[in-house]
Amino acid sequence: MIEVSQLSKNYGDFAAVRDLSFVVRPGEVMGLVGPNGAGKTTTLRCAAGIIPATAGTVTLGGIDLAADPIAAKRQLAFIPDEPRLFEHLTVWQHLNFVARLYGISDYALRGESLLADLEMTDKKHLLPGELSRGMKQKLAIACGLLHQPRVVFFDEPLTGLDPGGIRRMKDVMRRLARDGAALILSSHLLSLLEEVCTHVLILKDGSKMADGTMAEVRARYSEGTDMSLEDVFFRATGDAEGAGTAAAKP
Amino acid sequence: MIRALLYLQAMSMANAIRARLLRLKQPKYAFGALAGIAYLYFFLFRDAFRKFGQSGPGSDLPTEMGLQFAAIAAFVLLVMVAWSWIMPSARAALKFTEAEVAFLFPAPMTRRMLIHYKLLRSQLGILFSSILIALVLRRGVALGGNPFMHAAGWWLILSTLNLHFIGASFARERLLELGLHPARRRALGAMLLALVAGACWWWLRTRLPVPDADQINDLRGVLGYFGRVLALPPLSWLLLPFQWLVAPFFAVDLYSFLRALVPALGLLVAHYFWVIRSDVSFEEASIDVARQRAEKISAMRSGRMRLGSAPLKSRAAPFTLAPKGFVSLAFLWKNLIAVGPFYRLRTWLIACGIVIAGTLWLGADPARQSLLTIVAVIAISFAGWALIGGPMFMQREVRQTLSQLDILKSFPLRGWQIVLGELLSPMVLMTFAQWLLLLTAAMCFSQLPARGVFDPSITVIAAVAIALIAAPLCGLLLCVPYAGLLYFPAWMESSSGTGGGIEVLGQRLLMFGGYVVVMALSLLPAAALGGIAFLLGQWLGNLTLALLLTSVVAGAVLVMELTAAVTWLGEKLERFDLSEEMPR
Repeated sequence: MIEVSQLSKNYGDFAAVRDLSFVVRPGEVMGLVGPNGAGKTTTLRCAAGIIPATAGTVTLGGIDLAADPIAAKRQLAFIPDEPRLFEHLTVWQHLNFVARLYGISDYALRGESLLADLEMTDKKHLLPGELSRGMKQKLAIACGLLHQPRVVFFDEPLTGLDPGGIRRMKDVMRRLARDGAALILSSHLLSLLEEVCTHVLILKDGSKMADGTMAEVRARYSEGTDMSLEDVFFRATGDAEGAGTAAAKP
Repeated sequence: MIRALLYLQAMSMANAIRARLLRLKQPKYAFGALAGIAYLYFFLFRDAFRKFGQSGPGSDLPTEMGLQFAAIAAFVLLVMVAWSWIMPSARAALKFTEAEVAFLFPAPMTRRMLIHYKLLRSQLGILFSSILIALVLRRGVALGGNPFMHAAGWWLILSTLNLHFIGASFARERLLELGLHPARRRALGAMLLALVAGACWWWLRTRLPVPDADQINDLRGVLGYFGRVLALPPLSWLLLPFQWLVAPFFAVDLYSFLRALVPALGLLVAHYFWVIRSDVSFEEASIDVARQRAEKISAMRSGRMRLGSAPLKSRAAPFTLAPKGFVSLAFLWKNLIAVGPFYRLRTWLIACGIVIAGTLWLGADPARQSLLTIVAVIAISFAGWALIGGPMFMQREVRQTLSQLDILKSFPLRGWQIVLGELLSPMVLMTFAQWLLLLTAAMCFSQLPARGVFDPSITVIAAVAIALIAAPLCGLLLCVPYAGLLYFPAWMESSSGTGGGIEVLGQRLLMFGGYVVVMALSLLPAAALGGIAFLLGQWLGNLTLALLLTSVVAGAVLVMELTAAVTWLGEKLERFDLSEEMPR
């Protein structure tokens, strides 16, 4: 479970995230959306303990991130938009390295299984430079899932993936949620959120505009009409021009 | 259209200068600029400015020596030009940026306009280089003449060579279109070259006797002989256009400069028309070159620039990494894979064996023993340089750490574990290099006659004592780039660009100063307590004991300092706000 309470992040006088609170329970997938500069990536990085929050608390799997960051991070996997890999380590050496960081005794078994699931078994001795963009992303996911995280953050996970890669990524997210992990998914792709997410949180200028289940957020902004998430997004963020364009779509 | 290209060039340059000036508002660039300007002024330009514009006192060297230098320069140009026709296999390409390719290639422009634009752009660099070289080399001091004339001479040489290389690449492309592949072109070129060389050699043998050893036992003798060789036909005929080209540079007064200018300018104009009238397709190869350049610049800016190419083959791990255990060891394992199979214990042991065998061989013969001192001094000097130079080379790796810090910080690791992990591999490599150099010096000195108290056994003990403190000292110095990254990340980033101008040069100088200060401060307590331990050992009347005691105490102090530094950097890393440095 992910619990974020009154999270704020300031850069000097500029507030990137203001007083943000939300909860993601096991099995839930929360979509984090907002226009550029809304504070999505900052929220994800604060919640993952990558950058310090100015105020507020983050609890991952019941462990306070500030009080015990090591135990909290053991629950977590952070999958960035751009797979950041070590260019001299092969696919299998990446898994070996991550296993040591998390102290996973049975990593060989889990690693083989993950590579098989991701259709990468025949790539285990290749370097990142020999992998396609989609394969690199799959390796980043394998590294993230090796320690069986209970909390997973995805930052723009579909960037640069081909249709096959997109489908596999969606399957991974659904499977993780089914297995009881709490997921946060930050993306501009509203169609992806509609497909995968159970909940949504709309951010603008660092503040929460709306959150809840997809149905709740839709109901709040649709005024009884059948509205797409795109329409809801523009209404929630107060983008009249966007709302008009979206409404005019057939 | 030319106006648009001129506008692009002028505005790009003006905006680049404006951006450079604006960033001087930031203290890191302002201090860097001040340091850079001071360095350039005091070490390069102070004398040059004083002498620039004044005619030299006349040539310090005999006239015939100037002519010999000119002939040799012409010969060097001949070799460069021959090389440009025979060796390159790349397709004809002009260097454009990706933006230029995107805007100019689809624009309603002829190839000739693109070439003109390219020539115009290259002229800026050539002009700047010519003035800089003339200032830095201050050639007039030795051969007389005026620095303005030297700058103009450089400009003529560089401009003509630039045009010739472009023209040669176009001609090679044309030959390829006609079906002459690079391998055959090289073979034909080499045959032609061999024929010409053979003809010159045959002529030379009949006209110029081989000199006796005492005729070429000094620089003047060697130069004189070369001068006579190059003055003989048919080589002198081949060299004639090249001698026209270098003549303005070697002119010793205004009259000879103006006289030499006419044929040199004629050559330049002929080259210009040759290039402009070539109608060769260079677009496709130029797009590839632009893409490669953009990738290289992007890699350099993100700190991913490497000396070699990207790894093509996976590398064996240096040891088996168990899934449980000391976490920082995983970083050593990862980084040793990255540096490659050469940096392994086996290689180091072989090197030690070579050092021991080599120094024993030198020491075995009294005639070779004088070399032992030279080898030992070189080893010690290199060890001293490596103490500062090693961490400075590390800065590239440190920037790479910055680019992966968000991933590293999402792992369940304490800050000190990450810092120690990243320090371990350079520390191990540096320490082993230092030990090898110490072994070399100790082996050399131990075979030389005793000097004072330094008999062979004491020499070995002293080397062991220094070896003991080498590891923590290397670790401490390697903390400097990490401290720079965590406390002055913007400085580390700004010094990672491609050159970056005077201000970045100044920043690097300031960073070097930082290393020296840290080394002095960290050694001070170690030296003080080690000194007390040495006196204690001496008081006990045993030099060996004194040396070892000094080493143990000084090493312990350095280990404590290193522990404190790693802990301190780890805490800083945990609090480090990446969002200030990385895009949100």
